[in-house]
Amino acid sequence: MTGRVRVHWGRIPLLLLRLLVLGGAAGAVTFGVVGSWGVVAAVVGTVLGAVLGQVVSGSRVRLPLLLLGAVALWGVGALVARLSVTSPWLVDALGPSSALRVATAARFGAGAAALAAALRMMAARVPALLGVELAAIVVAVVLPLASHRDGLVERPLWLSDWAWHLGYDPAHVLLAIGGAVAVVVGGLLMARGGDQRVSPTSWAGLLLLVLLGVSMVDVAGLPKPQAGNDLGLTGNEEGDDPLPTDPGNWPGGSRGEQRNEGKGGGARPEQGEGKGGGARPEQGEGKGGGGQPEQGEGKGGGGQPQQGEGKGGGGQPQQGEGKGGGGQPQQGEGKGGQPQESKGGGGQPQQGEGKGGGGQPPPEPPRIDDDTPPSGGSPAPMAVVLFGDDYTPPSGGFYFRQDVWSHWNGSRLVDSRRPDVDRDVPRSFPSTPTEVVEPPPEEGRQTVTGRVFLAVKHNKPFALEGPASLAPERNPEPSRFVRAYRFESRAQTIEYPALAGRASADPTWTEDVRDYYVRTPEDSRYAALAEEIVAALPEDVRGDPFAQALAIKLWLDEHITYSTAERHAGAADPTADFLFGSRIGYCVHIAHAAVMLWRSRGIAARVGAGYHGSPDDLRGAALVLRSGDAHAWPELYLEGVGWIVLDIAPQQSLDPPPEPGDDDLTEQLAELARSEEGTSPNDPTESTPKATPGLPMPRVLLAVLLAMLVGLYLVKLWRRLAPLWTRGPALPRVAYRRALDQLAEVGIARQLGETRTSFAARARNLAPSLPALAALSEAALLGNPMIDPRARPELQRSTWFQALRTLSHDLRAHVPARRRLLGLINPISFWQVR
Amino acid sequence: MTDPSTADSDFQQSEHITHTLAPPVTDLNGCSGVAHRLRQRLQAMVRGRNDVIELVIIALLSDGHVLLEDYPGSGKTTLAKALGDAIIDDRPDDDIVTIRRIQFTPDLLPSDVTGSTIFDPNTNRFFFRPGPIFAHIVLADEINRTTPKVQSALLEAMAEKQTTCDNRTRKLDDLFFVVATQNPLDLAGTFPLPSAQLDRFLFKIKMRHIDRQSELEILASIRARKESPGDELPRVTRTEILDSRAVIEQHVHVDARVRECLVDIANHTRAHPQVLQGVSTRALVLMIPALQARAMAQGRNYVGADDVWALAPLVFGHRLALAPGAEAMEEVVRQCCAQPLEALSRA
Repeated sequence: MTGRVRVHWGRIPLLLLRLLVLGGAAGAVTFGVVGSWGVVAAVVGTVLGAVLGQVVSGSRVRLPLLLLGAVALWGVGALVARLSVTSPWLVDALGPSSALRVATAARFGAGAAALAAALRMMAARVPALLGVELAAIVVAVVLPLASHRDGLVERPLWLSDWAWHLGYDPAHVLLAIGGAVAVVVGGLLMARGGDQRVSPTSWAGLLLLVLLGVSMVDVAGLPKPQAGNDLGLTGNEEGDDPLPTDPGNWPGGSRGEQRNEGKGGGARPEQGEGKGGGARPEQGEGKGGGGQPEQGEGKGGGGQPQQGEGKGGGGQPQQGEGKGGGGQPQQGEGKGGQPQESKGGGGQPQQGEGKGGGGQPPPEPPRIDDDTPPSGGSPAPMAVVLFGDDYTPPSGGFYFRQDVWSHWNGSRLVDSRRPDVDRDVPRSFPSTPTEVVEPPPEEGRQTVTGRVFLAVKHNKPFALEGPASLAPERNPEPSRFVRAYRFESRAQTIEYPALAGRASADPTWTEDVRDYYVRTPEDSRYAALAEEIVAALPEDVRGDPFAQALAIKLWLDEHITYSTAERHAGAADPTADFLFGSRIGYCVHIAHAAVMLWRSRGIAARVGAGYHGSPDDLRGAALVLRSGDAHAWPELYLEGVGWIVLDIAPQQSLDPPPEPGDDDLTEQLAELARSEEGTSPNDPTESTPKATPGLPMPRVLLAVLLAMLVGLYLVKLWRRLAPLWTRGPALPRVAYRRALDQLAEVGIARQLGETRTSFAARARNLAPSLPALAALSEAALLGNPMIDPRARPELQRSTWFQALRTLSHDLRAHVPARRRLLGLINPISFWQVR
Repeated sequence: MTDPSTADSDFQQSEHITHTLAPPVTDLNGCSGVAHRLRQRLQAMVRGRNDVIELVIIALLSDGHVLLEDYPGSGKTTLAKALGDAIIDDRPDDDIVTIRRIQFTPDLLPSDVTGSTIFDPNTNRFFFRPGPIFAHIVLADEINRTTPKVQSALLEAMAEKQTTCDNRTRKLDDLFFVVATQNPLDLAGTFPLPSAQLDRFLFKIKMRHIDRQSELEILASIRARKESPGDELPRVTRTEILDSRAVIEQHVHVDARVRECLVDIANHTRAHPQVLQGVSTRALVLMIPALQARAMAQGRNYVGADDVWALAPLVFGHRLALAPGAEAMEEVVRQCCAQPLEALSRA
């Protein structure tokens, strides 16, 4: 051919598109990293670099040398950047700000140019490497947007702000950007100038893209709730399925959004760290505030009570003294520590890395004033419960207890660390059928079974109050549910009037436990108020614990105003602040108030936390629990019947009534939960939770790719062996195809427009026998059919086998074994055969 | 083109002495021998033109005419003369000679080509004196320098193998082979051949300057060739060529797929955006024997894709009228061939 360089005018638009996309990608990736000078330099550098790479790739210089050149270009840019700020006379000549700009421009411009040139050269020389270039583009576009993963559609903030400002849903904007990137990348992958063939790698890439798209649609088919939990019910589990016998693990999960850093007794991030996905934006940054509030019975550290200590924070507050700006230590930064009960006197400050001797660091208790109140009617579904038995609760609501708070830490009730209390609450998800340590008595209770399908990660299991046992359940829809289990509960059936006349303690309790459940703050106002309420009771029932509790409940019903707006944040004792202040608050405050009043009358009480489901929302046997159903309620202990929920129902509410549930969604979720009914429910291996809902797709993808690979090898094998069993007129075609396959394996394939003869002539130095073979093939195809086939050697098996043997021999003689082996491994070598 | 040593075995057995008749040609081996002998002689006389020699042999064996386009002094006449020398007229009794050369000039008259009726005072009668086209091989030199009238006289002769003079039609020899030349340089004072005339030529061959080695050989062998003009090499007879034509036509198989391919190529030329006028059906008709002859020359008894690929530019090139600003002719033809040929070449 002639050596003259041809300009392919048809490819100019494609090249322009490529440059545009590359420039855009460069701009996107540098946008948040560097100032406008750097961005402009990067974009211009990328475009120039791509043009340079395209032009240079047409030369005869070898690719590694070209890549070295690109590296050199980058080096020169870095050198210039360095010189322009370090060389005194340059700085003098330019002025400091100009010198800095020049440095930025040189560094980013040259870097981008070198990268773009290298990518373009590789793609232009080796079609398969086009994928690298496109992958770089995708990464460049995705990086600045990546913060919206895990369902945080409001991130990145600059994008969502802008979208909201224009009145768009940021999710749609993100979707549009993603779609556009996919289309552009797919287009660039497939685009070829003129008669070039689309390489198999490109086809594979496109397939991958499509599969990814399908998986996205599959995962995004239903809205995935990621809303923040209200009572610290959800969050990562800690120590997946800990062994029940492992004492270090019994406390179970960490709280709320908090993520366990897993440093083994090291510092625990403050709840306010906001690292765990930022579902609670008000919790701020507080990176340094790794203080660790600890209860008095701290397991690690030799029972040393520890004081929260922010690394950046100065002194530390003790004994409930608020510290930090504006007396609200808990809000935001997490700078100040947390008021704590301190048994050991003068709580010892512990720096974040306190080596808690072997003990698992206890989880941080939720704070009464820091919990986001349940936002009424928040629609995000958290879980689906399928009841197995008919049950009508006398209380008028289903109480799904996840947690109980019975330990008074000086400002509120928290989860107990004691092994001898609250043993009726399951601490961890079941990996095998597990009995609750201390199930409620059977009196006045009915066995109710049910299955729970968690749509969102929870840190502990919850069950209808009074659980007796838990068992794992197969997850019917791993893309939708993160976990499934079944519970068997002894739910309350005894009517409230029948509860009178029972002592509020268990005869088996030790004195210590009895004291534990009635401990109140050293605030006489509780006792005074309780006394005042109880005084209104008739004489004959005034001594009955349940009657007293009921009276307090009714008093609270009347005098409390429900509102999620009032937080009582910053108060040393938020409960007191609530009860003896505005009396406006939400369930956590109300429950605390009830428990404190009860306790001050000697009634064993605690706060239960979990979900409250209304029988009205029951659809068939299915109940969808939403984030707005999170609830805390007071419970009291009555001899013979165990812990009884006696919820407060404030008559006044400042909050709008909750939205009615979405029946369609309930049915849809219930349908999903039921979809695998009938399969073995107790197969623990099947109930393994999925870390992320998208996880199954890579596996499917892998399986598909593997199947494709096997298929390709089968095709290859079949094409190789077909001459053995082919007879009659098809033999020449099959045999010739085999010969071409063999040649393609070593890298020679007929080009478009080449005849057999010219191809054979080209391949002559590798396969001297090919011209004869090609002639045989052509003679079989175009020869005179009138001639007796026996007189035509090109139709004889022996001729062909001889020719194929000769060809194999030729290839063995002329092609290095390494090349032949590579060709044999290549699953798509036959693709190039035409 | 084909390596002469592999062309046939026939040649080995026909130890011809000049003017001795070989056994009659009845099969492709015989044809191959004829082609080989022609090739040997022509290659001995004309250096560095093996490709053109091959095409001329193909044209001769497929009853077509060739138009050579080249600069003066590049061996056209030598080639034509060598061809004439290689053919023995085994019917010396008729008036037809082996080779004639017509040098076309603007003032040439048709009768100078076809012959004229002359009054013989001895017998008091007119008699026909045949013109130069009454020959086996006619070398029409610088054909584009003469007037259309003369050109059209030649046209009838080439197409019909007959000529009309004074209302009397006279048949030409069966082996009537025109080697015309035209000069690409002298555009002034020329009459470009009309497309109808061009259509009569099977091949239009653009000759290029020969390579350095061949040129040196020519310079070195001037004397030697003057002394012995290659007469020791065997020649072929007129009958052998005519027989070969018949044998080739009969024995070289043209598959239906090849014919389809030709029609497809023609359609592609007609649909090509840069082509004003596609190739004619006659071009296809003329091409079939040429393909057969080439297949024979390559030692095959069937027409293959390679034949089409090799001959298409030569056959179609001068028959296409390209739009202004089109690419090179050969490129256009190659584009039109690519897809139809792919059907023949696919595994």
